Amino acid sequence: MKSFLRRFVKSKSAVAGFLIISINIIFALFAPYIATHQFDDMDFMYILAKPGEGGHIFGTDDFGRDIFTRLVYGSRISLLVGVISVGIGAFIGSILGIIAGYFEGFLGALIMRFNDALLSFPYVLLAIAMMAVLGPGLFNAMIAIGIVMIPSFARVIRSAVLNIKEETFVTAAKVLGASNMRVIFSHILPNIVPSLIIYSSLNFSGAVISEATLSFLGLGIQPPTPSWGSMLSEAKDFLQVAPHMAIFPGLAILITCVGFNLLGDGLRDILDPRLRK
Amino acid sequence: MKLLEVRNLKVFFPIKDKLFGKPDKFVKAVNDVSFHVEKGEIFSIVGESGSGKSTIAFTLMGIYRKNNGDIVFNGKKIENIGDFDLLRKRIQIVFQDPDSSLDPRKRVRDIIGEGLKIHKIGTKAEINRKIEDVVEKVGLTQDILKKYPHELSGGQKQRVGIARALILEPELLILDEPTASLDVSIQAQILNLLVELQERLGLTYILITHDLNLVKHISDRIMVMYLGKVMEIGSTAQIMSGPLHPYTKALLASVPVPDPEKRNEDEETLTGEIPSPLNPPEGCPFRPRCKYSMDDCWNELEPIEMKERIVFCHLYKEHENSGGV
Ligand SMILES: Nc1ncnc2c1ncn2[C@@H]1O[C@H](COP(=O)(O)OP(=O)(O)OP(=O)(O)O)[C@@H](O)[C@H]1O
Ligand SMILES: [Mg+2]
Repeated sequence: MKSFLRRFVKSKSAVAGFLIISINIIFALFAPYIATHQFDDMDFMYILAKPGEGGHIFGTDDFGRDIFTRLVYGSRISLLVGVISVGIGAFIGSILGIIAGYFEGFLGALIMRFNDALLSFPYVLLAIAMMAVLGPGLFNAMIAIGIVMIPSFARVIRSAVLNIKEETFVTAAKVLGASNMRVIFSHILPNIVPSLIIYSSLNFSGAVISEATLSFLGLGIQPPTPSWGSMLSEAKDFLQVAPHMAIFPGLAILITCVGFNLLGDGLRDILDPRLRK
Repeated sequence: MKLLEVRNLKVFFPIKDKLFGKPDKFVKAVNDVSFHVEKGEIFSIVGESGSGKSTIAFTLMGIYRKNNGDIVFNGKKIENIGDFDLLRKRIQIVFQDPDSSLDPRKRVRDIIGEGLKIHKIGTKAEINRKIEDVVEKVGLTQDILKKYPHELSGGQKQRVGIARALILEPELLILDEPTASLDVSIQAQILNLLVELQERLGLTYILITHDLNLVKHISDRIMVMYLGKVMEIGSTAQIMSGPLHPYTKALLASVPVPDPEKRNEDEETLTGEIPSPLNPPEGCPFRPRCKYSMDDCWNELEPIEMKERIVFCHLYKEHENSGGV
């Protein structure tokens, strides 16, 4: 554990990613203290104000609401959606991917056929269909996005498992008498963690954007509660007159994604004994 | 005393039809192979790549399933997975490729100790003592235990592989080309270690190799294989100084002789390609490359036993049961 911390501190990308995510979390946790306004306060004097005008550092939107404040509050939704949906997708996708990859056979084929069928639908369409079943609301949106991510996780994990399974050290463990459970948890899982981390961090942005789409369709977060995604979609009618409405939530999503990717990259390297000095 | 007896072993791999996934062809990787291993001996299996050596090893370890035949260990028939599981501690294997045979995310201590953990042998202290013990046996120092595989040299990796197999105190150790992927200078060290361990611990070895040179000084008996079939089985002296099967002769001739003077004039060499195992020749598999081939060679081979040796070659039919060559 101690050496993990030491290696963590040494990894530039892990530290940078960790900082970005930490700032995000602090914004989310202490939003009422950090925000300069109420997220649904409409300042009719300053509609579509430019950044800096009237005490609105990032400007205001078409209702005169403070964009900085809405970004700070929006980080709550976006982080939650990102973490929970990716968590659902990664967890269930990994289980299915491991079963399909490790046991192949009938069960594996069945899982992959089902998977391929799901993957042939557009991502958003599937999420909308899920929402039709689950009903609207933020919580259901996170579940829907998570479920929609399962097939792609399952596929990535399955191919990682198929590769590792061929390694002689897996055969060696079996020959020593290791049960399937032991082989999976002690040998396969630790060796697919890198793929899992990287793929999860890549999917974070997808989750945030999907939430935006669902919110835009009135299926996700209900206005006036802000999320980065919904702010972005509201901004698209004002791109000419008020580009800052899109730029700031876009930047927030971008920076957070970069943060997760850096953290993911760093963690992968830290966890790989081959890269230790 | 026979420690292991293999009778008429057949191991076929289905080749799946790409479109429908139905097996429509088989690779007869091991096709009707019989041999036995005496307790305490080094029994070598020699053959070119693809002759089915590893398949025999993996089948003996219960990784591949046999299609046919008997495996008898210590007088007891080994039939299903459960039987193999009971044998884990008594038969172990050292793999050909030390690079991929060690989990890159485990420390050497955990790699070597895994067998004890799986079989729940001993307390933590006892496990540690056994690990340190076996590390010394294979000629490594204790500081290796906290290292990861990528920090080790090829020779060290193979020693770790040997230690992992030995810690369960097996009676029979299968060595699948234990030195093939090592530098020549390291090969001799590992081979010496194996011979020393065999004497010290009273082990029995099945030593798999494609290099006759490697085994001629250390093995007691040799089995020569070609395309899934046995060509010849005999004592090392018999095989080395009086090979019977044309394939064995060719194999011996392809071993470089240090002194050119000693070279045989009408030396047989291996010409032509190894036929595809998907489509092996009828009769004797060596027929298309054999310069003695005759009509008879299109027929299935029967083992011809002479004294302590067995040869699968129609040339020796008349010698059958005559007891001499
Ligand atoms: N799991 C498998 N599935 C399908 N075919 C296989 C499998 N394992 C081996 N074979 C085939 O069986 C034949 C014998 O292979 P095997 O690995 O036993 O040969 P070998 O004598 O060990 O060769 P090498 O010296 O290259 O290790 C080969 O034609 C090989 O392609
Ligand atoms: Mg082999």
